[in-house]
Amino acid sequence: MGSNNRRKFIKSALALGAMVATAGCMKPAEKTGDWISGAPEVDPVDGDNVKVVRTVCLACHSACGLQVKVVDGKVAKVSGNPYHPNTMELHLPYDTDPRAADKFEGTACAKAGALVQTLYNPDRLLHPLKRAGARGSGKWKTITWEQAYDEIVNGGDLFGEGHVEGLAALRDLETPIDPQAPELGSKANSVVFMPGRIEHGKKEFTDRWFKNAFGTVNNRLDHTSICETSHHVGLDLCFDGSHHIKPDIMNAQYIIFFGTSPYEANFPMQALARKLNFFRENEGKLVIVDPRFSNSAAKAHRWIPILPGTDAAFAMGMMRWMIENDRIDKRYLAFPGKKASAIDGHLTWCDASHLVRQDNRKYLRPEDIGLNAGDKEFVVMADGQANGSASVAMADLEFAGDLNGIAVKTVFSMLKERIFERTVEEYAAICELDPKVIAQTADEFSSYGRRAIADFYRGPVQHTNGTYTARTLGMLNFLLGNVSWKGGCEAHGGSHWHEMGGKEGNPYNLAKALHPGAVKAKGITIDRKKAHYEDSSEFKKNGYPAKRQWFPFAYNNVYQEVFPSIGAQYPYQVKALITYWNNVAYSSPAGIHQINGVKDPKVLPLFIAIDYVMGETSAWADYILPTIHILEDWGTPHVAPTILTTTSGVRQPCIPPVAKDVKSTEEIFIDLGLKMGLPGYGKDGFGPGDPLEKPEHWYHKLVANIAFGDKKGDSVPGNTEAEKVKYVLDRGGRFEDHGKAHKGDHTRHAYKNACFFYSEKLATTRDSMTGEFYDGLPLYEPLKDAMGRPVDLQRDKYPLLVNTYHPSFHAQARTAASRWLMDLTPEECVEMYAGDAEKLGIKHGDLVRVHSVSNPEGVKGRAFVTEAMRPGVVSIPHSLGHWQYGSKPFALDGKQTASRKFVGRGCSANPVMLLDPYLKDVCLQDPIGGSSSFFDSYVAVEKV
Amino acid sequence: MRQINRKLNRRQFLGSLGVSATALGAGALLIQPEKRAGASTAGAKKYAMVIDTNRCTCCHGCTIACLSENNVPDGKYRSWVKKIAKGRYPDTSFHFLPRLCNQCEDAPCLNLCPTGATYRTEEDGVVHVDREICVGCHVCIDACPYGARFFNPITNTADKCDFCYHRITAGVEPACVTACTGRARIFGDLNDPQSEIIKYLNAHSTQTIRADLDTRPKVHYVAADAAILGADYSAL
Amino acid sequence: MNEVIQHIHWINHGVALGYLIAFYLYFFALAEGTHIVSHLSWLYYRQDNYRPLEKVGSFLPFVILSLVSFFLIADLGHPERALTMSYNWNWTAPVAYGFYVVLLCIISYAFHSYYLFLPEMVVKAREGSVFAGLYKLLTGGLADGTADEIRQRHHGKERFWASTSVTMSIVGLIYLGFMLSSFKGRVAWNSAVMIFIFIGQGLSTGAAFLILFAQLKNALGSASASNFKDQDRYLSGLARFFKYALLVQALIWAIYLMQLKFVGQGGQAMINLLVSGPRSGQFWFLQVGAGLVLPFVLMLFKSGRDQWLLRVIAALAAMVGAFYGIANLFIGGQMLPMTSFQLEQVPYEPDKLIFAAIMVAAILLIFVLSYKMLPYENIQSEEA
Ligand SMILES: Nc1nc2c(c(=O)[nH]1)N[C@H]1C(S)=C(S)[C@@H](COP(=O)(O)OP(=O)(O)OC[C@H]3O[C@@H](n4cnc5c(=O)[nH]c(N)nc54)[C@H](O)[C@@H]3O)O[C@H]1N2
Ligand SMILES: Nc1nc2c(c(=O)[nH]1)N[C@H]1C(S)=C(S)[C@@H](COP(=O)(O)OP(=O)(O)OC[C@H]3O[C@@H](n4cnc5c(=O)[nH]c(N)nc54)[C@H](O)[C@@H]3O)O[C@H]1N2
Ligand code: SF4
Ligand code: SF4
Ligand code: SF4
Ligand code: SF4
Ligand code: SF4
Ligand SMILES: [Mo]
Repeated sequence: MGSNNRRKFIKSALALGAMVATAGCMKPAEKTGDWISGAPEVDPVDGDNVKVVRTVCLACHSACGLQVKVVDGKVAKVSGNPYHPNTMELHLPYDTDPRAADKFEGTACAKAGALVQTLYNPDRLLHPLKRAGARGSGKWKTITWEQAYDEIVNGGDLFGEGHVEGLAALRDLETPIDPQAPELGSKANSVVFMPGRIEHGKKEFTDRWFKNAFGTVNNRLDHTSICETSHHVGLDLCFDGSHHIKPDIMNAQYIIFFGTSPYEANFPMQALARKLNFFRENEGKLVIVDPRFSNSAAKAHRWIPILPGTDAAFAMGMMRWMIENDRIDKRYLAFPGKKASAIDGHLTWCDASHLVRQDNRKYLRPEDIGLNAGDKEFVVMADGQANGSASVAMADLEFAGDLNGIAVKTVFSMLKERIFERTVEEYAAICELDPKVIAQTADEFSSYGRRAIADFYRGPVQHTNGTYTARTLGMLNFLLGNVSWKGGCEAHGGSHWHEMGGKEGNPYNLAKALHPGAVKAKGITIDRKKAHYEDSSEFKKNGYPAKRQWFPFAYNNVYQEVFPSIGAQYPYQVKALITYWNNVAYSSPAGIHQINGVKDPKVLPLFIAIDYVMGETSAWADYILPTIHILEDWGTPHVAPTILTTTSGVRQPCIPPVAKDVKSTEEIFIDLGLKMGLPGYGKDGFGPGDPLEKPEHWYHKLVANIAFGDKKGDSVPGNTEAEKVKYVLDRGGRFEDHGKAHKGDHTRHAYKNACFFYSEKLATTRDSMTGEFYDGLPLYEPLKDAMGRPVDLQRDKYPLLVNTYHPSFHAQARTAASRWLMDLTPEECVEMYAGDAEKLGIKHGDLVRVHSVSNPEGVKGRAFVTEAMRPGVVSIPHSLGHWQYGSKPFALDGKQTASRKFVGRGCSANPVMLLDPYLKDVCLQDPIGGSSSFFDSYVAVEKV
Repeated sequence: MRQINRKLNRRQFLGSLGVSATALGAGALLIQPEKRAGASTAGAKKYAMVIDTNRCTCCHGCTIACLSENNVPDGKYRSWVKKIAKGRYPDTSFHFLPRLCNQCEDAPCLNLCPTGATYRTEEDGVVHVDREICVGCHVCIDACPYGARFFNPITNTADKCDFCYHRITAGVEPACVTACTGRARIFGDLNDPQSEIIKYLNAHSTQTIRADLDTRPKVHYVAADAAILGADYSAL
Repeated sequence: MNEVIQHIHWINHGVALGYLIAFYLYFFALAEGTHIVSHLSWLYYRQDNYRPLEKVGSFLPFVILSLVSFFLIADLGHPERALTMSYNWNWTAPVAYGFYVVLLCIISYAFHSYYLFLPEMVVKAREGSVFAGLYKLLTGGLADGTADEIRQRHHGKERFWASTSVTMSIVGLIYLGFMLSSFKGRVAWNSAVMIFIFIGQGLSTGAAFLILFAQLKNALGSASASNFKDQDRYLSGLARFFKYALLVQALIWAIYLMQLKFVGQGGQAMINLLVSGPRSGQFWFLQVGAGLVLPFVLMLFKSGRDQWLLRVIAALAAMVGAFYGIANLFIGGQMLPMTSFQLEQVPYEPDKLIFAAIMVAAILLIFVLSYKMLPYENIQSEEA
């Protein structure tokens, strides 16, 4: 069988490492380079040798359901799971027979289709590796798992460079890591787990290991801060427990997307594309605010090529226009609470009418002025009288004055003052746009009632002002009162069934119980997330500024701070670093400088990477433990609020691992747990007679929780637990039927809580470096460094702003391994405005060098000269420019490995992004959300 | 069915190969393979595709699905998407044109194939390449005005999209159609008035590529830019 | 404003039929042309001592055609199926007819040469010269009479094969043009002018080839002094024909380019491709400059035509130029309509090119050997 043949080539290819394969039925084929795909026959549609497995994608992070065709035990084709709402509009009813569903296929984007190639990637690591030279020397030797475990756990003179403490010795939950600063926690915190991309199921599994079994606070320092964290943090400071908004696209009429290309990226790109097509065909107006003319802009009603970093100014200009032209929903703004806003059918309310003390920046609480009201209430003015917010139907929006000697203002008054600090013209000048553009956008935006939405993603937030911008953009929606309405701003989404249990229907409470002997980790994480500098011993000693930033709001970790902090041994020394699916050196801004933090074995004695290829970051590890590909793995990833019905996709292995000597993350940590005797692993891992000896034991419980559902009686069909679990696995997860998206005029699983224009939390917290309060209102803040100072960009030498984005057929660091996807990618990757190119004498296809203050050597790529770009902006699509990852050989057991040049084609923008001028070892960062800045770096481009 | 017929024929003439080398005259002509299974064309299907370029996002989901499904050799494509950029900043536009074999009703590739290896299944109008007969002369590749064909270095024959014949005959839509993230591709039977494709065609005005050649393509485009479809077909 | 295409991304349809086939077309036309020219001159001169030239014009094309057919086969994905093209036959496809056209050309050339050489071979075999055995084998016995008598005896057959082979040659050239013109999607080819281009191509390269190889034959010294002088005269006459053939060829190309102007943007694109685009170098310097202007100028006056060296130079230049004519038309024609106006992406197939070089070398070797082994010169001296 043809596809068989193909898989055979691939398999033998893998075994051989490198290959010059010949194939074909008639005569030897021409040599097709060093990667062969293609076979004489097409894939079979069905047959005894064909098996369909439903799982969940992780080609990008959108968690679409997949339907994988396995032919003779080899993955032949990846399509979409028709039960999954990401992949089909009107996804199949959940009770559809799984075999009948085989004939349907949901959509699968290019990245998903190419999973076949990343799975059978000839550059996959096949055995545990130990470095055979200095760190980063590129010399490796193959070792056994036993040896790897033994050395990692017990330590010793592992590299002939002196004694290295093993994990067992580092698990000291008593001794403080720094006797001078007991708040930092115990010595166990010197073990850091830093996965890049990690998803539900695995997140909880590794938390259990690091936090509750090993006892370090440095569990799961994942990648979100190089992704979009300020989007989450900013929105989290706008909502109560919600951090992701999306339009209810199918019912909306007007959508502005700031800094995102929903037709190419975002979550999930394929559902967004499909829904937006429907939206446009129903006269919906799409507006794209982006310096780059994206494929989404090509589909848009208007494209607004904004100056990067100024979205907040644009939104404030819109707000000013809307306030001046009376285009805001004043009734919604004036409802002081839940009961009041319900009059107009709202599920949410906002704080516009709440009073804020001008002395201590806090909301005025009833007790502050001796008002008799509930303790959760705020104070509002109604007819000139102060009232508890629950006791009036409609409050005064504007008030500034004295109450009992306390200067107060309503949030709205403060907002208005702030907004009116500049005119629309002044805002437009900041964005370097025509003021008419702002006015027109505001006019249109406020002409569709609650069916207009402002949404955004990475573009506006991966700046030093990211959190403020995120809040400002989010608030545009509050002015329309569109939250949770059908066709409005969705702040919750369909969400998922709780796989960790703890709800009344769930059989297994994995979050709280089922972990005998669990310990509690205490202290401050290496990246100082969610911690206040003011509570530290250092503050008491030194005051402001801290040695490095502290991030009280960055609840998602500060990924790019981990390596530099390890290098700086701040706030303490890290003794062992374990990375998984991590490529901080490649993926983060100014990432190449990150390596300096982990180069020196004296500073970081032990560095273990869990990876499936020789990643740029893993290349600096002491040990690389080879792991599996997502099509061989388990997981319970969640979807974005783009999906309005409850969705719990389940990732499950489609085939056993292609390479035999590799292990899943779960297997590795079960092995290590057993070896170290950590609580909660082995035959009584979950409790007497309830084993945790292999990944299936863990995932069975997660899937059972999903199958039984959160509420009693919400279970899927099946007489036994095993039957129910099978029911879910056969369908690749559990999915609410499509009819359940809405309830009346609202989305069914809507956000039903307060919306905050003012963030008391922000306004009352001080920056760890400047000691100044953060701002609780919408704000446009220009670029600044860690010390809050303006950054000298040397625009005369570095005139161009570097930009980056996700093409629809690439994802992150991973897709360059697919020949198919690389073949789709133009050779030319430095996209620049034709006018700029002309000035520089650069023609399409010329080799150019892009360099910056922080990286004078720069990167080289071919110029893509285009009209579809804001002048002054150079954009380099992500996923290109690898310098490891199989693009380059390394020495394995004294021999050079094979490599594939195309993997390293083109260049990346990250190496030239700016370092913080104060800290000098990390990129510019948003001190609130913790985002790394991707879009603030100025560069020079020259022909070579 | 048809395939089996053809194979038998092949075996027959393989046997006669030695003889035929000497008997190259008119007699040999008589053992031409029997013309495509004489399925009656009454009640025949007419498979076709509509591609709504308004919906296409240039995501290449189709491209990859097709490569994977049909095991197309590296660097060759049965389906691809062209991206055309027009205009000057800030009045720019992109135009996306997904491409595949048009399954022409009057197909130059078929007309010019010297061996008859390119044939049409009359019962559904799909144009195929018979890999058992094709000598790999490349003529059809040049003959196709749409660049839809390529030389397959594994089978050493001409190759092209066949509307995923193995799928459509098993009741599954073509791979590029099910994969299409924008739902831009609609596949169906033009002879079935109830089909989605007929409804789509009735509701939209469509164009075909290079209608001037009178090849009568069965892939129809909605809202394709004139620059792509017009006389300057260099953009295909 | 929005009409300007700034950039077209992705997929360049390469050139499906590469240089091997271009060579094939070139040699095919050349062989047919040579045969036609040599025979037309015979009809013109009707002199016995012209016959050696006619032999060159009959036998060499036979060799070329027989061997060049392997170019075609080598270019097939399945060379082992080449013969199946005789019965897997699609009547709407001109290429299908090609199989028989070529076959009939080869057969008729073979017979024609055979009857041309027959008298001399018989005589030589009788005389017991060096290759007597070979001649005996080829003639199948030793007939009586002088060479003239034998020729007289076979006159009918020789005439029959002569007219058949010339007809086939004309059919062959028409076939080439017709075949290319049948590609309706290829704007560069889809034109009736194609037939004339190949006829013109055949006549000019045929004349050049004849000049070159008759000269070579004589240089190798097989002709006697008087024969040599006669033949020199013929060659000088042929050069005049050659001059006009070049003129005709230039005219046809001018007409071709003109008609391209009227077939829309595609035609204009083809003109640009040749005149100012990626192939303009080959077009102006090689095809026009070396292939047409230079030989025409050299052959313009009798003084030039009488100089064997100038004749040879002109013939060589014309043959090289004519090859680029074919390449521009054939390869260039495949760059349209499908590509983004970059120079063609011809697959790099060194094996095929080496094969072609070996074949050409073999052809040349056979020529030279045949000059040594076959009795090209008349045996009239007996009577004289
Ligand atoms: N220039 C630029 N940089 C960017 C972006 C951009 O748009 N432009 N985008 C940013 C965004 S949004 C994000 S989320 C980050 C993502 O950045 P990362 O999380 O760093 O990228 P990933 O591709 O998820 O993978 C990281 C590493 O995981 C390993 N890996 C890959 N596949 C597998 C596998 O199947 N199994 C295992 N176990 N390991 C694997 C490889 O070593 C890979 O290098 O990148 C950011 N970086
Ligand atoms: N195809 C694909 N889809 C993906 C992923 C993938 O790797 N590939 N990854 C997923 C992940 S992890 C993420 S985080 C999301 C990211 O989803 P998006 O945020 O939609 O992705 P990006 O491509 O980073 O888009 C950022 C856009 O912002 C623009 N931009 C830059 N600076 C500014 C600015 O200051 N203001 C404005 N208004 N725009 C600006 C850039 O030009 C770019 O077009 O995508 C997810 N979906
Ligand atoms: S959008 Fe992302 S998650 Fe969905 S199929 Fe594509 S790569 Fe997979
Ligand atoms: S598009 Fe080309 S290959 Fe397809 S039927 Fe038409 S001519 Fe033939
Ligand atoms: S390559 Fe095959 S299908 Fe194409 S024309 Fe030649 S024989 Fe026919
Ligand atoms: S119909 Fe099938 S073969 Fe044709 S382009 Fe689509 S996927 Fe490829
Ligand atoms: S999959 Fe659909 S939307 Fe994507 S490029 Fe192909 S036709 Fe266009
Ligand atoms: Mo991300």
